Amino acid sequence: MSQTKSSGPYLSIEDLKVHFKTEDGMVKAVDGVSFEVSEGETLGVVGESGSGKSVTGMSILGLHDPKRARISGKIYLDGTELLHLSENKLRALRGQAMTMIFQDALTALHPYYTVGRQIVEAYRLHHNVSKGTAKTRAIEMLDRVGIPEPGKRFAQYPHEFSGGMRQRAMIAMSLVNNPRLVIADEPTTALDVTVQGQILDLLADLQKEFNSAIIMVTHDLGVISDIADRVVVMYGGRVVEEGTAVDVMSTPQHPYTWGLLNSVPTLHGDASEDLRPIPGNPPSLLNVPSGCAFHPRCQHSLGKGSACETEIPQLLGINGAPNHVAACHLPESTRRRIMETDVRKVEVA
Amino acid sequence: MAGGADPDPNEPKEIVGRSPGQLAFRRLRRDRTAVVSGFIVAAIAIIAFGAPVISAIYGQDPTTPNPDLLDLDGRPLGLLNGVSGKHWLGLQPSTGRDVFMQLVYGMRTSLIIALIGSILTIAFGSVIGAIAGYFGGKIDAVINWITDVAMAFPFLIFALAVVPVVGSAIVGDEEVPGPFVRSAMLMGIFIILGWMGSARLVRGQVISLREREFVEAARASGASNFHIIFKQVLPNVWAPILVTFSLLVPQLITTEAALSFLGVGVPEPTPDLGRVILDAVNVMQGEGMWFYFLCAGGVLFLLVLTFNLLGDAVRDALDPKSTR
Amino acid sequence: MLRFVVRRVLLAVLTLFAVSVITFTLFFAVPSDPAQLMCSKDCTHEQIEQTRDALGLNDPIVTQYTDYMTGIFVGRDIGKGEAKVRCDAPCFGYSYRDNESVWSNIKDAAPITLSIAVGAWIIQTLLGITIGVIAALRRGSVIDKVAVGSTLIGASMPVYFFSAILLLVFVYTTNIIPRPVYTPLLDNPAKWALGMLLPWLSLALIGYANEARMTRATMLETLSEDFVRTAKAKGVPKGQVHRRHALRASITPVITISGMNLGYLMGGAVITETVFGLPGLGKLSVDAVSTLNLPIVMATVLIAALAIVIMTMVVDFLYAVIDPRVRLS
Repeated sequence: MSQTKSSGPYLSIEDLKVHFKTEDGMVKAVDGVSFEVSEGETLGVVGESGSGKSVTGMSILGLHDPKRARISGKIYLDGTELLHLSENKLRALRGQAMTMIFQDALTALHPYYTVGRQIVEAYRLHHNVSKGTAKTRAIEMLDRVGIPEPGKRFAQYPHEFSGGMRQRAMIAMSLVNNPRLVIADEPTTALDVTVQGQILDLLADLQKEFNSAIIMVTHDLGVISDIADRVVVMYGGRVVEEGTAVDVMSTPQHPYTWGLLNSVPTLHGDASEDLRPIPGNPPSLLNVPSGCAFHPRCQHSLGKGSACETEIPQLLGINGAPNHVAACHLPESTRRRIMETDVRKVEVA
Repeated sequence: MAGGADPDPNEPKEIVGRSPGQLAFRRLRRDRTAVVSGFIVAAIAIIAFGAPVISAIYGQDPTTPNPDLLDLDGRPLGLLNGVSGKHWLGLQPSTGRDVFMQLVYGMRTSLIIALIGSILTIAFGSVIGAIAGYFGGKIDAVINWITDVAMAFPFLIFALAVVPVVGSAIVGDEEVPGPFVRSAMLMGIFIILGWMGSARLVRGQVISLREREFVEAARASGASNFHIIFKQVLPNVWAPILVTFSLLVPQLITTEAALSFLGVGVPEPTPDLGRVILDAVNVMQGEGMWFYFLCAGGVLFLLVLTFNLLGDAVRDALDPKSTR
Repeated sequence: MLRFVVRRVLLAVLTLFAVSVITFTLFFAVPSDPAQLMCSKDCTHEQIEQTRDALGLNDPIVTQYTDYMTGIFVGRDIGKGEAKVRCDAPCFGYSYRDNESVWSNIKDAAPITLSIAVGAWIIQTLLGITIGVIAALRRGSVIDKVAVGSTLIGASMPVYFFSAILLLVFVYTTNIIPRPVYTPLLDNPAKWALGMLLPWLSLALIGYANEARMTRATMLETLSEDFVRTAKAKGVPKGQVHRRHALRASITPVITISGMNLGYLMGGAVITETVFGLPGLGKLSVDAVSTLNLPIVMATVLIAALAIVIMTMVVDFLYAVIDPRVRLS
């Protein structure tokens, strides 16, 4: 489907900006984001709501309303630039080369059509096969994602499924065309903890099988530590830290990442240790704070009039780990000291 | 219910927490159609309720016949239907009454009935809906069924039949009920056959509010059901109620005029828009009478249109989900 | 499913029962004396008494009601002794004015009302849905603004004014269309349609407004639903996203309004029939009201209520067919 077969990363995003025009002004939902994912790799994109993580995922598939969203930058999928692709060509890629798994399968599946019919539709959009063949394939997928009695379930409606089964069906639909890029937008947030684990295991299994690239968008560091190879931490529409999951979880460099880690409850952590949520709220994207967007909430900010308030920090490599980058004005030594004494780390699976 | 988001010290100063009411008003003020239709509605109200003053300034009253200005067949003399500097919109044929004054006073009749009728209808519906939603269970089921029954009545035919029948029951066969009795009866019909919309709406809202913390808190602190419904729950559904109200007024203006058009509205000699239109339709084929017809129907149309525009704007402003 | 249907039908019957009791009580418990109305001015007191007796007006109201309802379902005998007349089912009694059976009046009027109602309904529904969908898809464009503006005008236009405008412009002034008359459809379809054209337009060009507004609003709401986004993410072409995914989900409330409208229209387009002088059910009831001819009024109210209740029921069934989530509850 792409003219230029490159050996580089399967997806790469360069300086992506997504701005929405609203009544109250311009909302800078994503403001200069770059990252890459390769085949067989799972990239975790973490951040609070409003950090721009979901908007980034949506713009890869080109799902924003062009009338309302101003999008700039570059998105290369297997060498093909997507932002300037015609709607028709983009449509052919959606659901085939790249797919999306949404957070709430109850609202994301059409309530009036059977689950089977929706999977068949997804398959036949990209394969010129008979309904019967597509049905066989759909039942096979339902079986593959661990839905018991797939033949019977095929003819049922989304509301007749339990939450976990529904999410499995959603995954079956997203993967029916063996996509090479899967964007999972908070796929487990709406589910029970036990079911969450099952769904993540399923995704990991399927990834091994199809060797696809997965972008896991989530606010939950637990999920990241479970399945991500690399992590991108987003705040206020920008990337503030990026690195391998091990690096980011065990030697986090950005105060925001520390905040996220400190607010995660752990199973084997010290019970006397308090959870320390990040004070304040995510910034309004209408009016992102000057300098480092995190400075109003940052306990380690260098104070009034400092670079933290005036200058947007660059993503810079860490000594000894050039692929681990963070955007923070604090001297590296200071960060190392705080990180070692005051930040809880999460074990990576 | 005042106070939108919690004040946040870290939030930039420009973003101020606004209450839903303030937000709505701000949106309303920013909407050009809303502002214009709001002004026109205000102007209409001033004209209608200031009808006696206008009559004094204009020098005509709505009921004086002007036999000297009609020919022997009752046709107004002069331009169109007798348009002149003294009678801006001419005269009604046969009766010789001043059309402009008829319309001004007619608007007053319309507005009084529609406004009071809407308020009563919505008050009644809201209370019923709140009761159904709050108590649920059997009470809700019974009220639901009564709603079904009320909706099954064919409005116009039923109103047409009930007004004379009940009217004669009130004042006896021989007399014609006065304007006050008739207006009261019209409003009664509006209430009896019109409360269902607001009842359903409020019921839905109340069901969703019923389990909310502040209602739980009121219940836990021993408040009576009456107190909870009227002091805690209903004040929280004012927005949809206001929207329903602003959309009901134009509907009742049309309906009141329709009943008068069909001969069961406010009786002579009280001026009424529906009756003026009926009169105009009856003579519209006559030479120059199209002007009279257009004035009569046009006034009603514009009246309803501006109220509808304002109602739409109010809905858009109050309903954050609204789509326009 | 069967339980749902049975329960719904029972509810409808119960509703109609309530409507009939309320209407009957209101009309027959009033002081105006039908016997007086049926007599000529110089009736003697005795004659009136006789008529009252013959009509059963001296019976308790419950008896009168059961007699009336029996008449509708199985027919009954009206009057006593020699004046006794057999009135076959469905018997709605006899007109006070001309002693004709109410049912024969209704049988004459119904086809006219049905012609007006069904024709106007088809036009307004097609128009309403089409305009609503187009406006929603072109949200904010000039087309949308024109559509919204036209629906506002439609929603604000009183039927009696609009019907009269049509009559004045097309019949009286330009004579493009002949004055509406009813020709039975089977006699001459072209003449039937021509005669119904103005009534159809007068109702449909106003009635479409609500349906278009509703369609536009629900369509806009649906277009922002998650499952529409899912469809796009699957690679469904735009047109199919709109038709198969969005429209399908937004059509339910439109069906409700549209179905109810048909019910109300079939009960008699009172004003339209009056303005155009077409002797349908609406005109029949207006004329009957002006002479306090209660048996006819009673019958028209009941028939109109029947139409409304049936359409409400049909709408509920359609809901269950369209929305799989309804079937379970």
